[in-house]
Amino acid sequence: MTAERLNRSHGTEAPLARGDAPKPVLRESRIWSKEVIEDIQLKAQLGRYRMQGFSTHRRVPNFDDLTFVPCTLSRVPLEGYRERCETRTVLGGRFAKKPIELKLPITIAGMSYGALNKTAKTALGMAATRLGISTTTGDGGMLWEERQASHLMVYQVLPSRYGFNPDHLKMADAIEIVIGQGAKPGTGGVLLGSKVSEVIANQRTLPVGVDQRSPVRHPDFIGPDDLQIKIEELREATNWEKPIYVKLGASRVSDDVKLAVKAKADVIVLDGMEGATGASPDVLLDHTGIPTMSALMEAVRALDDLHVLGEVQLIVSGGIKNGVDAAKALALGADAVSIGTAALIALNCNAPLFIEDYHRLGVEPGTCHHCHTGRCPVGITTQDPELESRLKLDEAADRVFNFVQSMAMEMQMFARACGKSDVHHLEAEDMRALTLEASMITGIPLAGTETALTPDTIAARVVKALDDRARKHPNGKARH
Amino acid sequence: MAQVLAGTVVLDAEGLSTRAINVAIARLLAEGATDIEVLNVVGQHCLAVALKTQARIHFKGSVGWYAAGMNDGAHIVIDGNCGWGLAECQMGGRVEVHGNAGSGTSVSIRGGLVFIRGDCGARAGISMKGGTLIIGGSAGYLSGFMMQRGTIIICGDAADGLGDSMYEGTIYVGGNVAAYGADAVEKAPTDQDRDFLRTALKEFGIDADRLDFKKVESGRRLWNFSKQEPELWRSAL
Repeated sequence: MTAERLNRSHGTEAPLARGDAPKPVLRESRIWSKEVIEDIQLKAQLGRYRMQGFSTHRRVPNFDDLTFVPCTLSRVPLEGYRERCETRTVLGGRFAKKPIELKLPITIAGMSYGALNKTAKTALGMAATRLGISTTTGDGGMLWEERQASHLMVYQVLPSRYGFNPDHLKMADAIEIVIGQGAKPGTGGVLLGSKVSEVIANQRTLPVGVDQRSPVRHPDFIGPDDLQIKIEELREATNWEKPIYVKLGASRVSDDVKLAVKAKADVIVLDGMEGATGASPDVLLDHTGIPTMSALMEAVRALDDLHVLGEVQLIVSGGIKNGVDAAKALALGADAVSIGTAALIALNCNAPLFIEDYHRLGVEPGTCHHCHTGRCPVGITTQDPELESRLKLDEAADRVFNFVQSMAMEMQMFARACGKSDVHHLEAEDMRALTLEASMITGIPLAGTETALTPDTIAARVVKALDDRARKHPNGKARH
Repeated sequence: MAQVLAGTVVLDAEGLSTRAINVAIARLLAEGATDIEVLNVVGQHCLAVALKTQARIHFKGSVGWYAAGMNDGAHIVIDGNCGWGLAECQMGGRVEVHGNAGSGTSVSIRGGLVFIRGDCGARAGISMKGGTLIIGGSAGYLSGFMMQRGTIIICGDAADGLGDSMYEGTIYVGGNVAAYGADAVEKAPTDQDRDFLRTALKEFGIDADRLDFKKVESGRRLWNFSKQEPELWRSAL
């Protein structure tokens, strides 16, 4: 190192002569990155945690880490664009007299009227009805227009009980008890004052403009034993007709799933870490929960342990972005997937429209996560009538219909390629892992190997290697 | 199983399950009964839930959890004790318990009246959105938590955390308050409050003037975040 560069590295250098100097390398700290610096300085202004909508920014192990291994010589495929491939899905037959029958293994996830506006909720209902799938209410209760638009509706029972009405419960086709959500398991929902309009405030019995922080614990039950009685109450209230779902934010998945089964749920809805929200402290999005793929594996094993795999259906959600993810989820053991953010993106979320309004929020299309502000440029997560008018109902419903239709076709494509005449026949053996961690999580062999890399299989390999060596050398010492 | 005595239909629940009792009540209501007495209940859960009727249903004995849950118009009387979640999410009507009640009594109700002759467990009246809860005895921990609207009258004592994070609504306490929750503010009752208490308690044989009622309401400092009050927000969240 030259004396001049040595000086530079200690910050005491004299300027180099023009023309001689190498371009300085700006070294960004891995600890105090620009993002961390901005975060600290923003909190120094706010005096609280940061809020945002959307989902975690982190990359976590996910379905992209798997690939299908379709039929070649060893298996016979179905004709990809022609042969019949069933998508019908029945949910809730464990105890309910009237299980739900979907035409596709896809549901629209619970998103509140409040986080979303009337047009967005109604458009989702219209699309779902044409697709033969269900929609789900959210915190704030049932929106009448959404009920009218939705042929099949799941009514959520949430800790806040905002807008809860037993008449609406009886009008539902299934009931979903929300224990938590993937975006922020262990913490209640948030609706900031800018979205608590007069209409929303009335529906939730709240003061207009209040920062609504929903409770996380239900008011009338706490643990799994209580939940079992609560489920009985809801069944009594609805003449044991309606399937009861229990929605869990993915956390201690294995134990939670087993407890929900014990509490006599018909269906488990498992929402992974990639699940989104209308508003949340950002630290919860990034640092709580279990990724969807990992959660799914734990849940399937838990159901299998209790011998109820198939009897208790499993819906997974959180970051499901296309038919590929859905097909992989089914192959790993899910009965259906639920989409939230993907449906909103189909509605127009983050579309390059009304650019100046993205700029007012300090973002570009494709990076917007300002659902919590109520200033949604494309009129979905806002209660502002002017912004809402940007979302055209029929066109919005068409886009969601088209998107979900594409998901279904993609799922069928993988199923046919794997020789399956029903998307539910996809199985883990139809896939290989592309990363070590995906192999360890799913128990699927890493591409290019024949056995999965799990702690057990690794241990077995080590034991076998030692045995082989001992057999070759009876004194137990390796020859060098 | 059921017989009519002086206009009251009597249902003997001896040996009957929750399902059997509820089905029998539903059938009697469908047949036009307006006054039903249910004998020999022994703590079955989830009795008389989500009823939409003006009828009177009288349980002779103690009931389990979620009795009268989601009630919408019925007058339900329980001569005994009840478990958790009594009258949860009630829309309207009237529920009377002439014994003690478990935790989560009258949570998230939107209308009507709930009366407990004795004591209530923890979290009575939390997330109430309307209606009135009257407790003749004392109320447990965190009663009135996140109350949104309506009225709670506690004639006895209130445990820790009373009215924590309440948005709106009013709580009256005739006895001692162990500790108020975040942003619950004690106020002096007005003459109008005293008149209301006299009227509300008279029909249950409770003399409001013999009690020194305190009035509790929201300080409204948790409605919107303020960095000027860090202590309050740390305790609230």
